[in-house]
Amino acid sequence: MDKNELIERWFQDHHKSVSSFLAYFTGTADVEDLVQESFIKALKSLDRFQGNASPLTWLIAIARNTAIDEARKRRLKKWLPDTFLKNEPSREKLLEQSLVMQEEQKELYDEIKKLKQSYRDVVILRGIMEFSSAETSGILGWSENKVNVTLFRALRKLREGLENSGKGGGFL
Amino acid sequence: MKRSKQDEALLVQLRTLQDYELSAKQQEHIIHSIRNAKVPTRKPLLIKSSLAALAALLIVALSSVLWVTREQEQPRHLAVEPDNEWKLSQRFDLKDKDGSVVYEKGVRGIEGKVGYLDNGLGDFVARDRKKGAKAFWYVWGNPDQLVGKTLKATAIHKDTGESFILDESELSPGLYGEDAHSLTSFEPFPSEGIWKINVVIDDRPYASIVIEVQPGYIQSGKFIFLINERDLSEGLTKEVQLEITGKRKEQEITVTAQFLEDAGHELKFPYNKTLEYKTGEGMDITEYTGKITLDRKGKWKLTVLGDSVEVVVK
Repeated sequence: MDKNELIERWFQDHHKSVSSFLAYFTGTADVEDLVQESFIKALKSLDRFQGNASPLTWLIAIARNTAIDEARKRRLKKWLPDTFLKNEPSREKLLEQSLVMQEEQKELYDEIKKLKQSYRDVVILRGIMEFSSAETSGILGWSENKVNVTLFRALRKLREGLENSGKGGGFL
Repeated sequence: MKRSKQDEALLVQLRTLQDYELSAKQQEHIIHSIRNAKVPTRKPLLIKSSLAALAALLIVALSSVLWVTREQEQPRHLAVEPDNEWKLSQRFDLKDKDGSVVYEKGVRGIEGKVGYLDNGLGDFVARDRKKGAKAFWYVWGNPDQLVGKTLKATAIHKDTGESFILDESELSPGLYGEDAHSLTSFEPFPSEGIWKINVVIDDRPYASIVIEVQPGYIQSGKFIFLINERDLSEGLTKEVQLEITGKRKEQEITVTAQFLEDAGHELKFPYNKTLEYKTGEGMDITEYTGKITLDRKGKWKLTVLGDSVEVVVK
Protein backbone atom coordinates (compact mmCIF):
# COMPACT_ATOMS: atom_id res chain seq x y z
CA MET A 1 0.00 0.00 0.00
CA ASP A 2 1.44 3.40 -0.78
CA LYS A 3 1.81 6.04 1.88
CA ASN A 4 -1.02 8.28 0.69
CA GLU A 5 -3.42 5.33 0.75
CA LEU A 6 -2.36 4.33 4.23
CA ILE A 7 -2.82 7.85 5.60
CA GLU A 8 -6.18 8.10 3.88
CA ARG A 9 -7.22 4.90 5.57
CA TRP A 10 -6.04 6.25 8.90
CA PHE A 11 -7.98 9.43 8.22
CA GLN A 12 -11.13 7.39 7.64
CA ASP A 13 -10.57 5.44 10.84
CA HIS A 14 -9.48 8.26 13.10
CA HIS A 15 -10.62 11.65 11.79
CA LYS A 16 -13.30 11.93 14.45
CA SER A 17 -10.85 11.37 17.29
CA VAL A 18 -8.29 13.76 15.84
CA SER A 19 -10.92 16.46 15.20
CA SER A 20 -12.39 16.04 18.69
CA PHE A 21 -8.99 16.24 20.30
CA LEU A 22 -8.09 19.41 18.40
CA ALA A 23 -11.47 21.01 19.07
CA TYR A 24 -11.18 20.50 22.83
CA PHE A 25 -7.48 21.30 22.87
CA THR A 26 -7.91 24.62 21.06
CA GLY A 27 -11.43 25.42 22.23
CA THR A 28 -12.61 26.18 18.70
CA ALA A 29 -14.62 24.37 16.07
CA ASP A 30 -12.39 25.75 13.33
CA VAL A 31 -10.02 22.84 13.28
CA GLU A 32 -10.23 21.78 9.64
CA ASP A 33 -6.85 23.29 8.76
CA LEU A 34 -5.20 21.76 11.81
CA VAL A 35 -6.68 18.33 11.08
CA GLN A 36 -5.47 18.54 7.50
CA GLU A 37 -2.02 19.72 8.49
CA SER A 38 -1.74 16.93 11.05
CA PHE A 39 -2.51 14.21 8.51
CA ILE A 40 -0.18 15.72 5.91
CA LYS A 41 2.57 15.88 8.54
CA ALA A 42 1.89 12.24 9.38
CA LEU A 43 2.18 11.38 5.69
CA LYS A 44 5.51 13.16 5.39
CA SER A 45 6.99 11.63 8.51
CA LEU A 46 5.55 8.15 8.10
CA ASP A 47 9.06 6.70 7.99
CA ARG A 48 9.44 7.71 11.62
CA PHE A 49 6.29 5.88 12.70
CA GLN A 50 7.12 3.00 15.02
CA GLY A 51 5.10 -0.06 14.18
CA ASN A 52 4.61 -0.84 17.87
CA ALA A 53 2.74 2.40 18.58
CA SER A 54 -0.91 2.60 17.53
CA PRO A 55 -1.61 4.91 14.59
CA LEU A 56 -4.21 6.77 16.65
CA THR A 57 -1.92 7.75 19.52
CA TRP A 58 0.76 8.72 17.02
CA LEU A 59 -1.71 10.89 15.11
CA ILE A 60 -2.95 12.56 18.29
CA ALA A 61 0.65 13.35 19.29
CA ILE A 62 1.22 14.94 15.88
CA ALA A 63 -2.06 16.87 16.10
CA ARG A 64 -1.12 18.23 19.52
CA ASN A 65 2.29 19.40 18.28
CA THR A 66 0.68 20.96 15.23
CA ALA A 67 -1.77 22.90 17.40
CA ILE A 68 1.03 24.07 19.71
CA ASP A 69 3.12 25.23 16.72
CA GLU A 70 0.16 27.12 15.34
CA ALA A 71 -0.50 28.84 18.66
CA ARG A 72 3.17 29.81 18.82
CA LYS A 73 2.98 31.31 15.32
CA ARG A 74 -0.10 33.29 16.27
CA ARG A 75 1.55 34.63 19.38
CA LEU A 76 4.49 35.77 17.26
CA LYS A 77 2.12 37.55 14.93
CA LYS A 78 1.07 39.82 17.75
CA TRP A 79 4.41 41.55 17.35
CA LEU A 80 3.89 42.27 13.69
CA PRO A 81 2.71 45.70 12.55
CA ASP A 82 -1.05 46.16 12.35
CA THR A 83 -1.11 46.11 8.59
CA PHE A 84 -0.23 42.43 8.55
CA LEU A 85 -2.91 41.57 11.00
CA LYS A 86 -5.65 43.16 8.97
CA ASN A 87 -5.43 40.31 6.55
CA GLU A 88 -6.36 37.87 9.23
CA PRO A 89 -10.05 37.92 9.92
CA SER A 90 -11.07 36.81 13.36
CA ARG A 91 -14.08 34.61 12.78
CA GLU A 92 -13.22 31.66 14.93
CA LYS A 93 -16.17 29.60 15.90
CA LEU A 94 -16.14 28.58 19.51
CA LEU A 95 -16.56 24.90 20.22
CA GLU A 96 -19.48 25.45 22.59
CA GLN A 97 -21.40 27.04 19.73
CA SER A 98 -20.99 23.93 17.62
CA LEU A 99 -21.79 21.20 20.11
CA VAL A 100 -25.00 20.44 21.85
CA MET A 101 -24.21 20.71 25.55
CA GLN A 102 -26.44 20.44 28.54
CA GLU A 103 -26.08 22.99 31.34
CA GLU A 104 -23.85 20.74 33.46
CA GLN A 105 -21.65 19.92 30.49
CA LYS A 106 -21.31 23.61 29.69
CA GLU A 107 -20.15 24.37 33.23
CA LEU A 108 -17.71 21.50 33.06
CA TYR A 109 -16.39 22.64 29.72
CA ASP A 110 -15.98 26.21 30.99
CA GLU A 111 -13.87 24.91 33.85
CA ILE A 112 -11.75 22.74 31.51
CA LYS A 113 -10.93 25.83 29.49
CA LYS A 114 -9.58 27.55 32.63
CA LEU A 115 -7.14 24.73 33.42
CA LYS A 116 -3.44 25.10 32.71
CA GLN A 117 -2.21 23.22 29.70
CA SER A 118 -0.78 20.12 31.34
CA TYR A 119 -4.01 19.64 33.30
CA ARG A 120 -6.08 20.19 30.19
CA ASP A 121 -3.95 17.63 28.32
CA VAL A 122 -4.73 14.82 30.75
CA VAL A 123 -8.35 15.81 31.24
CA ILE A 124 -8.94 15.69 27.48
CA LEU A 125 -6.95 12.50 26.85
CA ARG A 126 -7.80 10.45 29.93
CA GLY A 127 -11.25 11.91 30.50
CA ILE A 128 -13.05 13.03 27.36
CA MET A 129 -11.22 10.75 24.93
CA GLU A 130 -10.86 7.77 27.27
CA PHE A 131 -7.25 6.93 26.46
CA SER A 132 -5.48 4.64 28.95
CA SER A 133 -2.63 5.93 31.13
CA ALA A 134 -0.18 4.06 28.90
CA GLU A 135 -1.58 5.61 25.71
CA THR A 136 -1.65 9.07 27.28
CA SER A 137 1.95 8.67 28.40
CA GLY A 138 2.86 7.75 24.83
CA ILE A 139 1.11 10.80 23.38
CA LEU A 140 2.53 13.31 25.85
CA GLY A 141 5.94 11.69 26.23
CA TRP A 142 5.49 11.57 30.02
CA SER A 143 5.92 8.64 32.41
CA GLU A 144 2.72 6.85 33.32
CA ASN A 145 3.24 7.96 36.89
CA LYS A 146 3.33 11.59 35.83
CA VAL A 147 0.12 11.06 33.85
CA ASN A 148 -1.63 9.64 36.90
CA VAL A 149 -0.39 12.31 39.31
CA THR A 150 -1.28 15.10 36.90
CA LEU A 151 -4.73 13.64 36.31
CA PHE A 152 -5.30 13.45 40.07
CA ARG A 153 -4.38 17.13 40.47
CA ALA A 154 -6.30 18.20 37.40
CA LEU A 155 -9.49 16.53 38.60
CA ARG A 156 -9.13 18.17 42.00
CA LYS A 157 -8.66 21.56 40.37
CA LEU A 158 -11.64 20.94 38.12
CA ARG A 159 -13.82 20.00 41.09
CA GLU A 160 -12.73 23.11 43.00
CA GLY A 161 -13.59 25.22 40.03
CA LEU A 162 -17.04 23.70 39.74
CA GLU A 163 -17.72 24.13 43.45
CA ASN A 164 -16.53 27.74 43.43
CA SER A 165 -18.71 28.62 40.53
CA GLY A 166 -21.49 27.58 42.87
CA LYS A 167 -23.35 25.74 40.21
CA GLY A 168 -21.29 22.64 39.70
CA GLY A 169 -22.23 20.84 42.91
CA GLY A 170 -25.28 19.47 41.23
CA PHE A 171 -23.93 16.28 39.85
CA LEU A 172 -21.15 15.59 42.34
CA MET B 1 -3.05 5.86 43.49
CA LYS B 2 -6.68 5.07 44.12
CA ARG B 3 -9.21 7.49 42.76
CA SER B 4 -11.96 8.85 44.95
CA LYS B 5 -15.62 8.39 44.15
CA GLN B 6 -15.81 12.08 43.29
CA ASP B 7 -13.00 11.73 40.77
CA GLU B 8 -14.68 8.70 39.23
CA ALA B 9 -17.93 10.64 38.90
CA LEU B 10 -16.09 13.51 37.30
CA LEU B 11 -14.41 11.17 34.79
CA VAL B 12 -17.78 9.69 33.91
CA GLN B 13 -19.14 13.20 33.38
CA LEU B 14 -16.15 14.08 31.17
CA ARG B 15 -16.89 11.06 28.99
CA THR B 16 -20.35 12.38 28.22
CA LEU B 17 -18.86 15.35 26.37
CA GLN B 18 -19.66 15.00 22.71
CA ASP B 19 -17.20 14.16 19.94
CA TYR B 20 -16.61 16.88 17.42
CA GLU B 21 -16.84 15.89 13.75
CA LEU B 22 -15.93 17.81 10.62
CA SER B 23 -18.60 18.27 7.97
CA ALA B 24 -18.71 15.92 4.97
CA LYS B 25 -17.34 18.68 2.78
CA GLN B 26 -14.44 19.33 5.12
CA GLN B 27 -13.67 15.60 5.27
CA GLU B 28 -13.78 15.37 1.51
CA HIS B 29 -11.44 18.31 1.24
CA ILE B 30 -8.88 16.69 3.51
CA ILE B 31 -9.10 13.33 1.73
CA HIS B 32 -8.25 15.16 -1.46
CA SER B 33 -5.27 16.89 0.00
CA ILE B 34 -4.01 13.56 1.36
CA ARG B 35 -4.42 11.90 -2.04
CA ASN B 36 -2.70 14.75 -3.82
CA ALA B 37 0.07 15.37 -1.30
CA LYS B 38 3.48 14.60 -2.71
CA VAL B 39 5.73 12.62 -0.43
CA PRO B 40 9.09 13.09 -2.24
CA THR B 41 11.08 16.34 -2.18
CA ARG B 42 9.82 19.40 -3.99
CA LYS B 43 10.81 20.36 -7.48
CA PRO B 44 12.54 23.71 -8.01
CA LEU B 45 10.10 26.60 -8.22
CA LEU B 46 11.18 27.59 -11.72
CA ILE B 47 10.21 24.28 -13.29
CA LYS B 48 6.97 24.29 -11.38
CA SER B 49 5.87 27.71 -12.61
CA SER B 50 6.88 27.08 -16.22
CA LEU B 51 4.99 23.80 -16.11
CA ALA B 52 1.96 25.62 -14.79
CA ALA B 53 2.21 28.15 -17.62
CA LEU B 54 2.45 25.36 -20.14
CA ALA B 55 -0.53 23.61 -18.60
CA ALA B 56 -2.55 26.82 -18.71
CA LEU B 57 -1.75 27.22 -22.40
CA LEU B 58 -2.77 23.64 -23.08
CA ILE B 59 -6.02 24.05 -21.21
CA VAL B 60 -6.88 27.15 -23.22
CA ALA B 61 -6.06 25.32 -26.46
CA LEU B 62 -7.93 22.18 -25.47
CA SER B 63 -11.00 23.76 -23.98
CA SER B 64 -12.15 25.10 -27.32
CA VAL B 65 -11.82 21.63 -28.83
CA LEU B 66 -13.53 20.04 -25.86
CA TRP B 67 -16.33 22.55 -25.99
CA VAL B 68 -17.11 21.52 -29.54
CA THR B 69 -16.99 17.78 -28.82
CA ARG B 70 -19.16 18.21 -25.79
CA GLU B 71 -21.77 20.03 -27.76
CA GLN B 72 -21.88 17.20 -30.25
CA GLU B 73 -22.05 14.55 -27.58
CA GLN B 74 -24.71 16.23 -25.56
CA PRO B 75 -27.81 14.68 -27.18
CA ARG B 76 -26.47 11.17 -26.69
CA HIS B 77 -26.22 11.68 -22.96
CA LEU B 78 -29.76 12.82 -22.57
CA ALA B 79 -30.92 9.26 -23.01
CA VAL B 80 -29.40 6.18 -21.45
CA GLU B 81 -26.70 4.87 -23.70
CA PRO B 82 -27.53 1.67 -25.53
CA ASP B 83 -26.36 -1.53 -23.90
CA ASN B 84 -23.89 -2.36 -26.62
CA GLU B 85 -21.87 0.72 -25.78
CA TRP B 86 -18.68 -0.32 -23.95
CA LYS B 87 -16.47 2.69 -24.47
CA LEU B 88 -14.49 3.50 -21.32
CA SER B 89 -15.72 6.62 -19.54
CA GLN B 90 -13.19 9.41 -19.18
CA ARG B 91 -12.24 11.60 -16.26
CA PHE B 92 -13.33 15.23 -16.23
CA ASP B 93 -12.89 18.31 -14.03
CA LEU B 94 -15.06 18.87 -11.01
CA LYS B 95 -16.02 22.54 -11.09
CA ASP B 96 -17.27 24.82 -8.36
CA LYS B 97 -20.43 26.93 -8.66
CA ASP B 98 -18.42 29.84 -10.07
CA GLY B 99 -16.92 27.62 -12.77
CA SER B 100 -13.46 27.35 -11.20
CA VAL B 101 -11.89 23.91 -11.22
CA VAL B 102 -12.00 22.18 -7.84
CA TYR B 103 -10.41 18.84 -8.82
CA GLU B 104 -8.74 18.63 -12.17
CA LYS B 105 -9.81 15.43 -13.93
CA GLY B 106 -11.07 14.29 -10.56
CA VAL B 107 -14.35 12.68 -11.60
CA ARG B 108 -14.92 9.67 -13.84
CA GLY B 109 -18.21 9.24 -15.63
CA ILE B 110 -20.44 11.20 -17.96
CA GLU B 111 -19.78 14.91 -17.79
CA GLY B 112 -22.88 16.90 -16.96
CA LYS B 113 -24.72 13.76 -15.80
CA VAL B 114 -23.07 11.62 -13.18
CA GLY B 115 -19.65 10.52 -12.04
CA TYR B 116 -17.70 9.29 -9.05
CA LEU B 117 -14.64 10.79 -7.45
CA ASP B 118 -11.61 9.17 -9.04
CA ASN B 119 -8.59 11.08 -7.94
CA GLY B 120 -5.12 9.79 -7.34
CA LEU B 121 -5.86 6.22 -6.33
CA GLY B 122 -5.74 4.62 -9.78
CA ASP B 123 -8.18 2.06 -11.13
CA PHE B 124 -10.28 -0.18 -8.95
CA VAL B 125 -8.60 -3.50 -8.16
CA ALA B 126 -10.65 -6.70 -8.07
CA ARG B 127 -11.70 -7.80 -4.58
CA ASP B 128 -10.00 -4.76 -3.02
CA ARG B 129 -12.11 -2.68 -0.61
CA LYS B 130 -9.69 0.18 -0.16
CA LYS B 131 -10.42 2.45 -3.07
CA GLY B 132 -14.18 2.23 -2.66
CA ALA B 133 -14.12 2.57 1.12
CA LYS B 134 -14.97 6.25 0.86
CA ALA B 135 -16.64 7.06 -2.43
CA PHE B 136 -18.39 10.17 -3.68
CA TRP B 137 -21.07 10.40 -6.36
CA TYR B 138 -21.62 13.71 -8.12
CA VAL B 139 -24.82 14.19 -10.09
CA TRP B 140 -25.91 17.00 -12.41
CA GLY B 141 -29.53 17.69 -13.31
CA ASN B 142 -32.64 19.14 -11.75
CA PRO B 143 -31.98 19.26 -7.98
CA ASP B 144 -35.67 18.71 -7.23
CA GLN B 145 -35.50 15.34 -8.95
CA LEU B 146 -32.22 14.36 -7.30
CA VAL B 147 -31.84 15.54 -3.71
CA GLY B 148 -33.35 13.12 -1.21
CA LYS B 149 -33.75 10.46 -3.90
CA THR B 150 -31.99 7.10 -3.96
CA LEU B 151 -29.13 6.48 -6.33
CA LYS B 152 -28.69 2.80 -7.13
CA ALA B 153 -25.65 1.64 -9.08
CA THR B 154 -25.51 -1.86 -10.54
CA ALA B 155 -22.31 -3.11 -12.16
CA ILE B 156 -22.29 -5.62 -15.02
CA HIS B 157 -19.22 -7.45 -16.33
CA LYS B 158 -18.70 -7.15 -20.07
CA ASP B 159 -17.58 -10.73 -20.73
CA THR B 160 -19.26 -12.82 -18.07
CA GLY B 161 -22.47 -10.84 -17.59
CA GLU B 162 -21.98 -11.15 -13.85
CA SER B 163 -23.66 -8.32 -11.96
CA PHE B 164 -23.86 -6.97 -8.43
CA ILE B 165 -25.08 -3.88 -6.60
CA LEU B 166 -22.12 -1.55 -6.34
CA ASP B 167 -23.88 1.02 -4.20
CA GLU B 168 -27.20 2.32 -3.03
CA SER B 169 -27.25 5.70 -1.31
CA GLU B 170 -29.34 8.80 -0.79
CA LEU B 171 -28.42 11.98 -2.61
CA SER B 172 -27.69 15.19 -0.70
CA PRO B 173 -27.49 18.73 -2.09
CA GLY B 174 -24.44 19.56 -4.20
CA LEU B 175 -21.15 20.51 -2.54
CA TYR B 176 -19.54 22.27 -5.48
CA GLY B 177 -20.90 22.86 -8.96
CA GLU B 178 -22.85 19.60 -9.05
CA ASP B 179 -26.54 19.48 -8.22
CA ALA B 180 -26.45 16.52 -5.84
CA HIS B 181 -23.86 14.28 -4.23
CA SER B 182 -23.56 11.34 -1.90
CA LEU B 183 -20.78 10.10 0.32
CA THR B 184 -20.85 6.32 0.44
CA SER B 185 -18.87 3.06 0.23
CA PHE B 186 -18.67 0.90 -2.88
CA GLU B 187 -18.79 -2.87 -2.72
CA PRO B 188 -15.59 -4.34 -4.18
CA PHE B 189 -15.61 -5.55 -7.79
CA PRO B 190 -15.43 -9.37 -7.69
CA SER B 191 -13.26 -9.71 -10.79
CA GLU B 192 -11.07 -7.85 -13.24
CA GLY B 193 -12.10 -6.61 -16.67
CA ILE B 194 -14.50 -4.11 -18.18
CA TRP B 195 -17.51 -3.26 -16.06
CA LYS B 196 -20.50 -1.10 -16.84
CA ILE B 197 -22.09 0.76 -13.96
CA ASN B 198 -25.75 1.47 -14.58
CA VAL B 199 -26.89 4.37 -12.45
CA VAL B 200 -30.58 4.53 -11.58
CA ILE B 201 -31.97 7.51 -9.66
CA ASP B 202 -35.40 7.39 -8.12
CA ASP B 203 -36.06 4.17 -10.08
CA ARG B 204 -35.31 5.87 -13.39
CA PRO B 205 -32.24 4.92 -15.49
CA TYR B 206 -29.95 7.94 -15.41
CA ALA B 207 -26.64 7.12 -17.09
CA SER B 208 -24.06 4.36 -17.54
CA ILE B 209 -20.37 4.53 -16.79
CA VAL B 210 -17.86 2.03 -18.21
CA ILE B 211 -14.63 1.39 -16.34
CA GLU B 212 -11.73 -1.03 -16.29
CA VAL B 213 -11.04 -3.00 -13.12
CA GLN B 214 -7.48 -4.23 -12.60
CA PRO B 215 -6.63 -7.85 -11.68
CA GLY B 216 -6.65 -8.64 -7.98
CA TYR B 217 -3.62 -8.72 -5.78
CA ILE B 218 -1.81 -11.99 -5.15
CA GLN B 219 -3.42 -13.32 -2.02
CA SER B 220 -4.25 -16.30 0.13
CA GLY B 221 -6.68 -16.42 3.04
CA LYS B 222 -4.03 -15.06 5.40
CA PHE B 223 -1.81 -12.76 3.37
CA ILE B 224 -1.83 -10.44 0.42
CA PHE B 225 1.01 -9.19 -1.75
CA LEU B 226 0.22 -5.68 -2.95
CA ILE B 227 0.98 -6.43 -6.58
CA ASN B 228 -1.12 -7.74 -9.46
CA GLU B 229 -0.23 -11.11 -10.89
CA ARG B 230 -0.01 -9.39 -14.26
CA ASP B 231 2.79 -7.12 -13.04
CA LEU B 232 4.77 -10.02 -11.69
CA SER B 233 6.99 -10.38 -14.71
CA GLU B 234 10.17 -12.35 -14.91
CA GLY B 235 13.10 -10.88 -13.02
CA LEU B 236 11.00 -8.38 -11.12
CA THR B 237 13.13 -6.70 -8.49
CA LYS B 238 11.05 -3.95 -6.97
CA GLU B 239 9.87 -3.76 -3.41
CA VAL B 240 6.56 -5.44 -2.85
CA GLN B 241 4.56 -5.00 0.35
CA LEU B 242 3.05 -7.96 2.06
CA GLU B 243 0.08 -7.59 4.41
CA ILE B 244 -0.65 -10.35 6.87
CA THR B 245 -3.86 -10.64 8.85
CA GLY B 246 -3.38 -10.31 12.60
CA LYS B 247 -0.72 -8.83 14.88
CA ARG B 248 2.64 -10.50 14.18
CA LYS B 249 5.62 -10.21 16.51
CA GLU B 250 8.29 -11.35 14.00
CA GLN B 251 10.55 -8.52 12.87
CA GLU B 252 11.64 -10.57 9.87
CA ILE B 253 9.89 -13.37 8.03
CA THR B 254 10.85 -15.43 4.99
CA VAL B 255 8.94 -15.62 1.75
CA THR B 256 9.68 -18.90 -0.04
CA ALA B 257 9.20 -19.17 -3.80
CA GLN B 258 9.23 -22.63 -5.33
CA PHE B 259 9.46 -22.98 -9.08
CA LEU B 260 6.90 -25.70 -9.75
CA GLU B 261 8.30 -26.66 -13.13
CA ASP B 262 11.69 -27.58 -11.64
CA ALA B 263 11.54 -29.03 -8.13
CA GLY B 264 15.15 -28.13 -7.42
CA HIS B 265 14.70 -24.39 -7.91
CA GLU B 266 13.67 -22.63 -4.73
CA LEU B 267 14.30 -19.02 -3.66
CA LYS B 268 14.00 -17.36 -0.27
CA PHE B 269 13.42 -13.66 0.38
CA PRO B 270 13.69 -11.84 3.71
CA TYR B 271 10.76 -9.56 4.53
CA ASN B 272 10.97 -6.91 7.27
CA LYS B 273 8.15 -5.62 9.41
CA THR B 274 7.25 -2.07 8.42
CA LEU B 275 3.85 -1.34 9.94
CA GLU B 276 1.05 -2.50 12.15
CA TYR B 277 -2.41 -1.05 11.80
CA LYS B 278 -6.13 -1.62 12.12
CA THR B 279 -8.45 -1.62 9.14
CA GLY B 280 -11.73 0.28 9.08
CA GLU B 281 -13.46 -2.94 10.09
CA GLY B 282 -11.19 -3.25 13.13
CA MET B 283 -9.00 -6.03 11.75
CA ASP B 284 -5.32 -6.05 12.71
CA ILE B 285 -2.88 -6.07 9.83
CA THR B 286 0.89 -6.40 9.96
CA GLU B 287 2.77 -5.12 6.95
CA TYR B 288 6.15 -6.44 5.81
CA THR B 289 8.26 -5.08 2.98
CA GLY B 290 10.87 -6.81 0.86
CA LYS B 291 12.08 -7.57 -2.62
CA ILE B 292 10.99 -10.59 -4.54
CA THR B 293 12.61 -11.80 -7.75
CA LEU B 294 11.01 -14.64 -9.68
CA ASP B 295 13.69 -15.34 -12.28
CA ARG B 296 11.94 -17.83 -14.55
CA LYS B 297 8.76 -17.87 -16.57
CA GLY B 298 6.17 -20.35 -15.42
CA LYS B 299 4.32 -21.51 -12.34
CA TRP B 300 5.55 -20.59 -8.89
CA LYS B 301 4.32 -21.32 -5.40
CA LEU B 302 4.76 -18.54 -2.82
CA THR B 303 4.72 -19.59 0.82
CA VAL B 304 4.44 -17.23 3.78
CA LEU B 305 4.16 -18.54 7.37
CA GLY B 306 2.85 -21.90 6.17
CA ASP B 307 0.22 -20.45 3.85
CA SER B 308 0.68 -20.72 0.06
CA VAL B 309 -0.56 -19.31 -3.21
CA GLU B 310 0.29 -20.23 -6.80
CA VAL B 311 1.19 -17.61 -9.37
CA VAL B 312 2.22 -17.61 -13.02
CA VAL B 313 5.10 -15.48 -14.26
CA LYS B 314 4.53 -14.63 -17.90
